[in-house]
Amino acid sequence: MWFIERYFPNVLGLGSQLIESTYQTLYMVVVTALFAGIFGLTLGVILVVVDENGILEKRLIFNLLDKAINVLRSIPFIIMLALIAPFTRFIVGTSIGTHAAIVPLVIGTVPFFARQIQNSLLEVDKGVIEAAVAMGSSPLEIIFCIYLREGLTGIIRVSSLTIINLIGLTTMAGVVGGGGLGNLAISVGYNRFQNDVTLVATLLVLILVFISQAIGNYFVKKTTH
Amino acid sequence: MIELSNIQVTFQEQKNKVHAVKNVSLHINRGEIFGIVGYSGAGKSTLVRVINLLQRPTTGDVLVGGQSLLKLGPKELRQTRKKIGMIFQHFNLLKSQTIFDNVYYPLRKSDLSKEERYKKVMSLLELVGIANKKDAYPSQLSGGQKQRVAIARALANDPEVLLCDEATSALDPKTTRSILKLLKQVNEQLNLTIVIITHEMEVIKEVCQRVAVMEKGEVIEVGDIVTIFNQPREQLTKDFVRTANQIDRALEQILNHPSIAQIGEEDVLVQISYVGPKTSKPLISRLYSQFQVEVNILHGNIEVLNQTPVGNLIVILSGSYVSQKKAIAYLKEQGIQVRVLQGSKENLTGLEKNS
Repeated sequence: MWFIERYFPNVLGLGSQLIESTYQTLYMVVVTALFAGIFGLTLGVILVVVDENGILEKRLIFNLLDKAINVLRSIPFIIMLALIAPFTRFIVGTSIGTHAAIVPLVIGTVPFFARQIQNSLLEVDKGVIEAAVAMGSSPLEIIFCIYLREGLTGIIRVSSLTIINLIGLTTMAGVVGGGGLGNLAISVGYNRFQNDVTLVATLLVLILVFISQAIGNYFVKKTTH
Repeated sequence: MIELSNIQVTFQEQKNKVHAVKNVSLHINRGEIFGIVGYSGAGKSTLVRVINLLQRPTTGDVLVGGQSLLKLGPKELRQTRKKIGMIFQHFNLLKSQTIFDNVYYPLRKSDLSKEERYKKVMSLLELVGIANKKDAYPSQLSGGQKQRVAIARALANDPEVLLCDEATSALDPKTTRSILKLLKQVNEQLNLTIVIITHEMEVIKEVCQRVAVMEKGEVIEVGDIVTIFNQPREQLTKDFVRTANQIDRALEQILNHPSIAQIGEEDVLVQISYVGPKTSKPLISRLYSQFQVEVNILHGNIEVLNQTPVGNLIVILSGSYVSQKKAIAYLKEQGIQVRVLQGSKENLTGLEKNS
């Protein structure tokens, strides 16, 4: 106890705020992951099937989506937060707070995740796809039984990667009043010259990252045959 | 069973047009094992993919079982494809699924009950001899085993046709033979029409009944296997036949090592080929008893091509010039092919060389 009193004096008093910040970060990560996961997975699958030589080739749609994703990926997240404030207000009613932060977080993560999924699915052996077509499988069958099954290990790997990236994005949510561990580190730790708080906040973020990594590795191992 | 009419497949690659298949027409009979042989790039893989429309022809028509595939809508095409099985050079199994699930996959949308499907998968696995590995994953199997699984999977929906795209090209010779044996068995048991694409003439020799030779997108020769092997017309066909033919190798050895041949002044080196029932007649001994021509056999070989025995002998005929001539004439009368390879000048002017 004395150790903490001596080297982390400010942290002790912050007990509840620490817990709240951790909760906010977790909340943002989980909710964003859910929305971005569904949208991003769908978008990634679409990119693969409408691609040239894909099972539902439609070059026009592919080019549109491809370019759109490139543009969105090029916008730095912190600018994205400000840029889409009007849109956020339209959806959530406000552009401030943890709930509001979800909107830019989703928009910032979906293009990233979609690309990851696209790359991962493109690694599925094209010969297997050909065999499925030769067997008379419908496009939906191929998507759900081949791409998502054969590509499962890859999908898990990139999901883990995306969540870690997402944790990083949530640290900027403080800009729009979203709270979270990142905000704690900056507004309390940095602005008030309380390094110990910064350190503890960072540690907590790292723990979240390591847990994500470990869960990802576990499932990758389980699905590899 | 399969009718390809004036098939042309042309690809547009940037500024060039690639004519992968040029005006090919083929007719494949029901229950037949038909081979298509050619070098890499000849267009065979493209052509076989036209049969189940994995590759749409630029022009031409494709009929399978009397039905034109080009006229089918997407759903009907998928149904038809269930009746055309296909196996590939690199097996293309689902790596994330067990062997059982791999063979089960095509049955997912069938009308059979769950119990019937299970029974079917097991019987297919037993047919190909791999039932004991049903819970294994493809990564745990050898190449030959994987191809067996692929065959079982291809047969799941009781197809009428089986397309084999270089199915044995990635396998060692012994495994290749066992897979070919399995294909032959399936062809006989189920009257399955099989189309085999390969660049190995040995494979064609082993199982095919008819064969088409492809070069640069065109079919240059088609015929039954015995004719193709014994009387190849085109140069490429001859080249291919030579690769699977022991006789030319033996000939090369003999011609290059005169010590083996030891041809006397009046002797002549001859290649004798015969097909079918003539193989059982004791013709050689008759050459001596009737014509006093001694026969020294340097090389002899009998192969069975599609249940037809084909015999080849390389012999030295010793005797007077007149008897040699009579003996050769006799053989030819019997319908046996005689090819004079070497001999002294006097002999050769009288005897027809290379006839």
